[in-house]
Amino acid sequence: MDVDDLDALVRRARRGDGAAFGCLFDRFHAPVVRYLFARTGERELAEDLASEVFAEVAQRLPKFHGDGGRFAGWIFTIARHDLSDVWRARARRRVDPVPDVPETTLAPDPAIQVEARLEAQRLARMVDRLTDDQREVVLLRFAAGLTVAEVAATVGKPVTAVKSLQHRALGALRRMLSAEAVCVDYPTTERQGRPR
Amino acid sequence: MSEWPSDRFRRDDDVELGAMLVRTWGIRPDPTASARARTRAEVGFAAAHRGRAARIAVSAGSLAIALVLGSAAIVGSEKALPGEPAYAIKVGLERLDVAIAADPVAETNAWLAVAEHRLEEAVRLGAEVESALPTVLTGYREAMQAARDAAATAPPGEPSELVRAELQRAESTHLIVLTELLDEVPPPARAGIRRALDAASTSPTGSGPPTWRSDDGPPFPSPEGGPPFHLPRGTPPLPPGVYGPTG
Repeated sequence: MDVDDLDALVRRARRGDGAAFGCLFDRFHAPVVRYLFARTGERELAEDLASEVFAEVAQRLPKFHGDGGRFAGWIFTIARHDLSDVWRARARRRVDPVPDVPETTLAPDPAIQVEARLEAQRLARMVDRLTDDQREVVLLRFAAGLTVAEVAATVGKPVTAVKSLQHRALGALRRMLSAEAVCVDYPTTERQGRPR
Repeated sequence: MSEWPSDRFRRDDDVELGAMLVRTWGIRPDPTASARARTRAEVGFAAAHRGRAARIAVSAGSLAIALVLGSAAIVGSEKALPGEPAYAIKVGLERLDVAIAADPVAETNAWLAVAEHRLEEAVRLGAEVESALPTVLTGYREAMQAARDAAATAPPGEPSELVRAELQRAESTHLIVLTELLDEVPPPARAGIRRALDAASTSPTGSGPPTWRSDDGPPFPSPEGGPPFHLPRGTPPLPPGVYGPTG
C-alpha cells in the first residue's frame, strides 16, 4: 500500500466510510500486535492491548487531522500510551510481567522450531540491553515494520536521529552477537560475568 | 508504510540482522482475537460517526434556533423601552450603526436615527409619571448634538447639503413632536422637554442665531403644506383665528 492509497483510506475513514476503516484495521492490526508483543513478551496481552488501541482509533478518528503518513505514527503513539498505562497499573499492583518465549512463524520441523525460538529469545534479550531510544526504534522498525519516517513521527524525533539510533542499535546488537559467539566457542569464566 | 525491508541498508549484515529481528517477533495474531478486535473497533467506529452526525445535527439546530431567536430579539428590540431586556440590544445596534458609519454623512444619518428613536420613546413614555423620560430626553439631546457635529465635519458637496437639509427637516419635525409632548407630560418632566426643544432648534447648519426657543411658543404650520415655521422674535402676536400654532 503506497502513501497515496493510505491518504485516501484515512480520508474516507475520517468521513465515516466503514469499509475504509476495515482496510486500515487489516493493514495495521498485525504490526500493532507484533510491536506490543515485542514490548510485553506476552502474546495474549498484546492482542488485548491491540484491541484496545483500535477501539480508541475508531473513536478518535473523526478528530484525527493528519495524512496517511502521520496515521501510522498516530496509531503507534496510542499503542505506546496504552502500554504505559498497563505498566503503571502493574507497578501499582506490584505484579511483574511473566516473560513469554516469542513464538516464531511455525516451521514444520520441531528441531527448527526450537532453534528458532532459542534464537528469538536470545535476540530479544539483547534488544532489552539497548538504550530505551534504540530499543524503541528497533521494535518499531523490525517488529511493527514501520518506515524510518513513520518511526520518526511516532517517537517525535527527526528522521536523521532515527536513522542514527537504528545504526547504533544494529551495531550494538552485532557486537553482542559476536561476543556471544566467542563465548559459545570458548565457554570460560568470561561468560559468567556477562549481564543478562 | 511499506513492508520491511524496503529501506536500503548500508551493510549486508544489517540486512541479515534485520531479518533475524523480524523473525524474532514475527507472530501471526490469533484469528479469533483479531476478529473480536475488528468487530469491537467497527462497532466503536460506527458509534463515533453516529455521534458525530448527531453532534453536527444538534449544532446546526442550535445555530438555527439562535439565529431565529437572535432575529426575533433584534426585531423585538425596535420597540423596546428603557428598562426592558431588549433595550440593550436596541442601543447596541444603534451604537453599531454609528460605529460602522463610513463618513460624516453616514454618521449624521445614524445619529439622527438615534435621536428619532429617543423621540419616539419619549412620546411613548410621556404619560407615565415615574418613567425613564429624563434619560430618554438626555439621549435625544446627545444624539442631536452628535448629528450636528458629524454634519459639521462633512466635506462640501451634494451629499453634505442633502444631509444638512435632512437635519433641518428632522429638527422641524422634532419641534412639533416635542411641543405636543410638552402639554402631555406631568409638570416635573416639562423642564426636560424644554431642554430637548432647545436641542432641536440649535442647528449650526443654518446661518445666524437659533431661530426658536422653547419659551417662544409652539411653531406654526406652513400655509403651503411645508415644514412648520416660527415667527421672528419680537413679532407681535397674530389675531386669533387668523393663524393657529400647531397643536
